Amino acid sequence: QQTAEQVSGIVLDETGEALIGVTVLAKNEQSDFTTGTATDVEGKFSFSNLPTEGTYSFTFSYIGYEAQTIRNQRVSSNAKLSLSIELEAGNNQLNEVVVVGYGTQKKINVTGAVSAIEADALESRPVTNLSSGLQGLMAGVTVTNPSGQPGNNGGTIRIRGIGTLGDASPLVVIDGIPGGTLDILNPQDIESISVLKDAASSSIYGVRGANGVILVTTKKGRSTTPSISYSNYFGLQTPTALPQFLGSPEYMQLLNESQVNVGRNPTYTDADIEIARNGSDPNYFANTDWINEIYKPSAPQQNHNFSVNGGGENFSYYLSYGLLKEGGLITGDNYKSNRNNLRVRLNTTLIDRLQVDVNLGYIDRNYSGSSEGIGGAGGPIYAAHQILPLVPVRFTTGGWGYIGGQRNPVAVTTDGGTDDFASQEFTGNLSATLNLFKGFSLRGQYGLIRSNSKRTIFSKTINYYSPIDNSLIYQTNVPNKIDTRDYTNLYQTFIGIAQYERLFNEIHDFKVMLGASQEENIGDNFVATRTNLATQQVGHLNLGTENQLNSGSASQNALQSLFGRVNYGFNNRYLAEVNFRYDGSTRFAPDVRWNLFTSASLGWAFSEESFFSGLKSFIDFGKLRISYGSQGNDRVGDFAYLDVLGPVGTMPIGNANTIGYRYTSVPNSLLTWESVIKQNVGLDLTLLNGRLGVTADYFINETKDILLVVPLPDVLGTNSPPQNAGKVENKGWELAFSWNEQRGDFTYGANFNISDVRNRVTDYGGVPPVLSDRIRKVGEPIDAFFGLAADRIAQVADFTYDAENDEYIPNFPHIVSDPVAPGDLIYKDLNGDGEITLDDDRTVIGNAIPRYTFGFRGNAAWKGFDVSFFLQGVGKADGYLQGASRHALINEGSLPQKIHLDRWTAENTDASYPRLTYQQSHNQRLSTYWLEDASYLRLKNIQLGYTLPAALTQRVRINKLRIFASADNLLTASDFFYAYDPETPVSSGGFYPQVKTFVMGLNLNFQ
Amino acid sequence: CKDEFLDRVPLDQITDETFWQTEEQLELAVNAIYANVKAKNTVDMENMGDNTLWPSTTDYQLIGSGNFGNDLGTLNTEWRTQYAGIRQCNAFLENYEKATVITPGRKEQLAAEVRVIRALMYSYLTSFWGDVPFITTTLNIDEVYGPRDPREQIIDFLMQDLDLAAENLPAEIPSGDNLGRMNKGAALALKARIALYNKRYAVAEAAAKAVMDLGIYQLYSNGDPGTSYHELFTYAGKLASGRNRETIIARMHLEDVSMHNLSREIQVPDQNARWNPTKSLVDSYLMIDGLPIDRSPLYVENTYEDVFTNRDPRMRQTILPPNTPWGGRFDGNPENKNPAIFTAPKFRSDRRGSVTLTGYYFTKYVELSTVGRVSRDANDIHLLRYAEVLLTYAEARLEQGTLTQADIDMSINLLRERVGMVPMVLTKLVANGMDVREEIRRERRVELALEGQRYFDILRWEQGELLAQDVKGMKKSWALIGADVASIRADEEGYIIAFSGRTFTPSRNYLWPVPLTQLERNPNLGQNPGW
Repeated sequence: QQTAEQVSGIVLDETGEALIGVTVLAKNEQSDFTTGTATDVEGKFSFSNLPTEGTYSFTFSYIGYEAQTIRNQRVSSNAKLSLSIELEAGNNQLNEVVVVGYGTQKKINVTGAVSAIEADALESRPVTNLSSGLQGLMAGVTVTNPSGQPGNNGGTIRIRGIGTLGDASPLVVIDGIPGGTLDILNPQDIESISVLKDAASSSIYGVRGANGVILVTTKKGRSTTPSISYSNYFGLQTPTALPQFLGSPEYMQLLNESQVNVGRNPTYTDADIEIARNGSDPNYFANTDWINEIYKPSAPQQNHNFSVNGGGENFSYYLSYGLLKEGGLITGDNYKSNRNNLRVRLNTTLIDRLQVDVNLGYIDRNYSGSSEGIGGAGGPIYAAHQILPLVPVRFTTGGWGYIGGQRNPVAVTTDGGTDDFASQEFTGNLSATLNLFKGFSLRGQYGLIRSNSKRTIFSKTINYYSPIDNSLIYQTNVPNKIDTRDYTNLYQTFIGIAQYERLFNEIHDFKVMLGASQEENIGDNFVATRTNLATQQVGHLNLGTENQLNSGSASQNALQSLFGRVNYGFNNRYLAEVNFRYDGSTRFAPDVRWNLFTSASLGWAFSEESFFSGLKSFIDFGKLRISYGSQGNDRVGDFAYLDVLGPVGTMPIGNANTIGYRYTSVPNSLLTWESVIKQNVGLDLTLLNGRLGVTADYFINETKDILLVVPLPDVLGTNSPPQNAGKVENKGWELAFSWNEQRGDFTYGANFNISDVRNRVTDYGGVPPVLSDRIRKVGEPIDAFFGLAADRIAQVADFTYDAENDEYIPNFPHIVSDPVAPGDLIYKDLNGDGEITLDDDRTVIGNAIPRYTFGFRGNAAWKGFDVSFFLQGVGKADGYLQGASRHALINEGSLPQKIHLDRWTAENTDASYPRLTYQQSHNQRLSTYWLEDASYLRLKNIQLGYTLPAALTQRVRINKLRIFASADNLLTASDFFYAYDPETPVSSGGFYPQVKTFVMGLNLNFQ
Repeated sequence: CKDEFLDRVPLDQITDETFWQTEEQLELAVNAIYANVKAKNTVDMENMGDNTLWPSTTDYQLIGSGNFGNDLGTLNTEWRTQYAGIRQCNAFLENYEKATVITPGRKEQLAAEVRVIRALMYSYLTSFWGDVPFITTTLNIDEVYGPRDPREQIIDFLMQDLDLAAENLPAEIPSGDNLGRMNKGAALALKARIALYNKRYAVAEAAAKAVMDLGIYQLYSNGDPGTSYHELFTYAGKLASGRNRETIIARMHLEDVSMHNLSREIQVPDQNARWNPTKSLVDSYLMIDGLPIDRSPLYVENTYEDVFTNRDPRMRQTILPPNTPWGGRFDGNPENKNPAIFTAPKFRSDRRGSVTLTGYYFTKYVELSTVGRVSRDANDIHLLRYAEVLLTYAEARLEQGTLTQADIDMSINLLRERVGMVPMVLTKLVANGMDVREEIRRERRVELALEGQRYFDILRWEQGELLAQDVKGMKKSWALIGADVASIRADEEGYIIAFSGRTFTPSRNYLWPVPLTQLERNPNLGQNPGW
């Protein structure tokens, strides 16, 4: 056997430093023979038993460096071949750094499941709030947008499904300070966002990490010459979907029909219907399209951002100001918002080893609306859905129209007063890092969030006068009232961290971090009201004359924590990480207050193994990850373990306003955290010279001791207390692909992600399941729809006619107390006992947890032009619209819509809607008939931009000038009910609609 | 870790340890319990009976019509709210003895008020469902899965508990700061009602007599028999007006603080009146000669106005007669240009005035000054008044076979005297072939119309078939404008059929079904027969 060295060499980086662990692959260019080795601590390698026939190629590859191949080398057994290689740092995805809990990590060394996006994913989109902006960008992160209301349109974020029966919102950490609010940040200030999805990445946040963690990092200055940027956009918003109600004549006919169908007399005579049709009585038989009256055609929006960025050798600064103005879609102009974001970030290094980071944020924002809550019974949108078309907006005498029973929403939004909210939030975030000696640093951070908010609700009296005799016939908000609320909140945290990082023997990479923190949150609120203001022109507390009432509330909670992390990497190839956190929370009784959360994870960069070297030219990098750990959730009210009494208004004893005291709840002193065990297996691949990136994950999250309000039999006599009961499991997978390439002047890229999660309750604390419309039952998804299985609409042939009593006797099983007649739904007798009962014949018929959520982002640029689009959607979800949003004439406020013309009648037996039964809703029980397909595919954003040639703009010292046009929610493909947006799959209507947004703007950069 | 950082208490609530110490705290706790006394909801329960028809569908009306299942929302609401009140009562009764008070007997007096309220809650529960879980302690969360307890056992307890309450309560009618609190009369009168509802006639008689013997209650009167009865249900008759010595238990209301919408609902000036008197109620009023309409020679009904002529005077004070003030604006007579006076029923939904489904309107419980304003009615809701005690006494005597003319004179004839109605005379009833029981029951129906008692009376008298009948109104031919009633149905005799399709299944409908929600949470409750 040949043992002498045939080939030897050394691999260095650009600075001449030895590179350790570089994979060296020797491949015989004439035969199939390949073999591999790796460089040692001095960067040296050698081969000794290569067959000597033919020529060899040697490929050198190393994480973060461009691979290099040397071809056509002859190897002999006596003449030694010596190679000296210099690898260049590669400009590819492998060098990316991601923000992780209490630090950063190279992406290639991450062993947990972390998704991250950079600022460019949000740039130039008309994103008014970050949570909506995150929709579809990352696998496993789902966002639903319940409303488009100005200033109050934040989305609901769920990471990897819903692991709790309580609050499933993730923890938001902004620049290291936990507990922030995403929606009020200026999206343009964001440098990056990391989402921590598994235990390995998020267990360092202990008791608050169970729902996942979103880490937001804001921009900081670059130590360069000052750069000034200005960008803006101006745009318009229109609703994505609106209901279409019937006009007066058709409304009156359908009302009569529905009344006769249930044994009542019709309300309107044919003569009255004719009056409505010919418009001869515009005061009492008008024909108003209230949707058209309450909505404006569009709402304006504008945004301006101004920033300065720069620095010198030992310092950098970033200053920014953002202004967002949103107008409303509602008549009367009460709905609008303004947000001013100011941010200052200063970084400096003192005496070589002390780094100071000062990060100050100030947000001054306000939003307004009508004095009636948007979704309240008198609220403008709800009221517009409930008011009869017979009501005129104004009488012919000029006053507001009123014909009884309903509130005139246009009067409410015009003259009914306002609800103004204003808030100032100051965020102070100071940290200092002291590098004591090589690899060892101490870091202290103080965070403060101080908010002062004020809400003033001015309910103005609206008078309605009869068009006949001008007498006062109706009033709302009597007496007028001013309600002023002041909310203050102070959050403070101290975080101390010690960190030691060292590379031993050039291959053992150790990193140890240990920290402690405490935080407290104290709120104090004050409410004062007065009535009978002498004027309605000015609304101030000082002007009210009667009922000078006040009240208040206060809250506090605190958390103390110890946490730490150990990372070990062997040769960048084998990675291990352990995390722990020990948390104590005031939300639980002292005995059960403290708990420990831990996680461990392993990573294997298999592409660095020598046996893998044959695939290196195709797969640049590959890593397997596996993690396991526990986390907690303390989202339960403060002091649920204490027996407390609070005040309550009661009967006016002694003819005076009377207050009493009573217990507010049943205490549960055993209440403690809910904990989640999370398991994750993941694969990261980088292919084709960094052009293609693939990430795949499979996970199982099991939540136990769920903080759950088990609905107890009501003989308890009070609200059921939260308990630790039950288990929920979420299993799912995620796939993400990215592609980036440049060919000459043409660059393009694409990102696609898709994820699925299956949710299941695995234990329900041994108590009977809750069987309302949304079921919580072992084996089923949380809050799955539980209802009857509808067969079809019954026809006359399904009945036996009893001529004597003029009754139709159904020949099919039905609910015994339902007055069933032709045109009603036939339900399936699931247990086959010949009758339908709610106890026995309901089953799980669907659920609203979205499955197969996906996003597809593409962009391309050629010379000065750029284009991007973003498709987003849900592959499978069930929706359910309740009450007036879907049904006609089942209560006083459910008005018929155009689709209800296709109701069952003796003449229209092939109907899509059952017969109309005035104020009887036996057909509207939750059944398969009323589940909506809430899957959708939506062009979330499309954007076109053009950057003027630099040669042109630089003459006026403009570095970059780009103009763009962008649209959000432009196109949607969905089978969802026409009147509502599939992003709100379950609702009763009456909310501010989701919007399409069209904007144009520019980006300007001076240097 | 320094644990002090985590030692925190609520900033805006009182913990249990610092409560239950002083007399003031006990009073605060009792005050809170008064919030559980039913308010206008008491009147709403009238929709379950056959005195009135609601133009839209309410849960109470569905219950009355028999077309409902055990998933009906109100069933669960009633169950939940009564037990919520009971828990608060139990919490008080478990803790009140801890307090140190200066006034002797004060603690027991406050506890007695709580016992009366708890008995009120249980009286509804047992009337609705019969057997229900009997809870006298604040349950822990693992103690809530028990079965239902027998109605009779609960009634036994209530009888004793109300006696205990009566012993510890002052007799005089509360006034000043205590206006509206429970007193001895409340304990005894409630005992009489519950006993009557549960066919314990001797107990009912004794309790009613005890109230009568207190000697402090008298029927409300302003001296005018033509308006006294009506006035009791207006602001003039409020407890706070100081002239009402009749009402024993009321849910008091106060302008700006606690208000409802009853007056407006009754004569709402731009929609269907919510409360439409039925033909059945209208027909139940006797003629002024003491005979029912089918026996009295005085009765003619050629016109709308005829119906109101020569009737028991309570009819004109309950059902709105023509040519009287109302709040319903423009009526059914286009010639009538005075919106303040009602002259003819209105059927056309032109939104200019109050529309009736049956041809009739109520006037009882209408405080005219509040009809024009939404939810600004501060009228008291009378839960139990002396008139009922008198009726209970008479009925209890009758059912025991001991009713004498003297009994009638000291009870029913006082009610008739107030309004100037001819007295009830046993010998005349016999002479005219009238059934005494039917007349005693008629008296109760007429006197207590619109006060929420009718449904319970129908059930305990086992007259469920009344609830299965079509709801009728006046004769169509009485309408001034035929076109307005052209599409309205009528029976063979020409009376409006305002609502049909009602059912009553005797094997099922005498009790409510245990609410679906409760059965799901605790299958041990079991279901009532037929459901």
